[in-house]
Amino acid sequence: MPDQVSNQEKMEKIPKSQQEKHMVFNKEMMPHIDSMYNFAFKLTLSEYDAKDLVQETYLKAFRFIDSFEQGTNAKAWLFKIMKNNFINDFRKKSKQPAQIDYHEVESVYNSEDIDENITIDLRTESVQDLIGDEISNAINSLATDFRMVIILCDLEGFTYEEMAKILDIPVGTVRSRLHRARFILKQKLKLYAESLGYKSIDEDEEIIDL
Amino acid sequence: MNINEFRQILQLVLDDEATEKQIKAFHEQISKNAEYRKIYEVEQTTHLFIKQKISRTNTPSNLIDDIRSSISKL
Repeated sequence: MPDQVSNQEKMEKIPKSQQEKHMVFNKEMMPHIDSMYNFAFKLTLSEYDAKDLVQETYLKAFRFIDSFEQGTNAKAWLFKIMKNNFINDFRKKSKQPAQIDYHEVESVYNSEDIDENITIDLRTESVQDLIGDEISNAINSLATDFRMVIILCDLEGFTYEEMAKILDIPVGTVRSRLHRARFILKQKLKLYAESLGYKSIDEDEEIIDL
Repeated sequence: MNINEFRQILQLVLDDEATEKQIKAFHEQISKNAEYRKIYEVEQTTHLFIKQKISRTNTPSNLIDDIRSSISKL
């Protein structure tokens, strides 16, 4: 059996013909176009730039399709290419202003006694209606590293392990980054809820309740 | 289990990343501690709400054709 697996692995590495490349590309890569565009839009916050980023990502994927092993996670593979493309090339090319330094942001929230009690009670529909539209704004205002983990986890449903591979960081960092991203997000939503006039009924718990 | 440990496991539970041992410990806590149970209920609602409200952006209709066209030129 090990020999068979080994032979199969060797077979997968044989360079593909143009026809095979197109076949693999259409079958494995194209079905993820909506998720890819959505991720690109969340990263760039621009329809024009998102389209460019998706095209660059897919072109790169096609060029390197021989290194993709069929049967493995094509979506995660594409997301990793896009993330690298965005970090290494796209951000420089589009001359976007420097993003918030993650380490600087992290240090703000890195204390052991991070305010764990910030909680918004969204169990009533009236609060959900009021805060609903603010979610996108709050997410878009997060630093890129925090925005990425929220999108990858909460929208695309990647596991911590998959996110670690896409982002090239340890699983523990995924966990803590996600925790801090959600903390900042809840803090933004709490401030927004307070600006609408909602107060905590129980200050000890800091739960905004209606 | 203190509150910080509980919240760490809570995130893992909500993300379907907790081990069986952690899930068992978690359920023990929420069954005997009303404060933890309330935190769980509120966080679960927030978690689901945020997931539902993160909007997807529609893919431009010509994007697929543009990609195919670019690839055919390679």
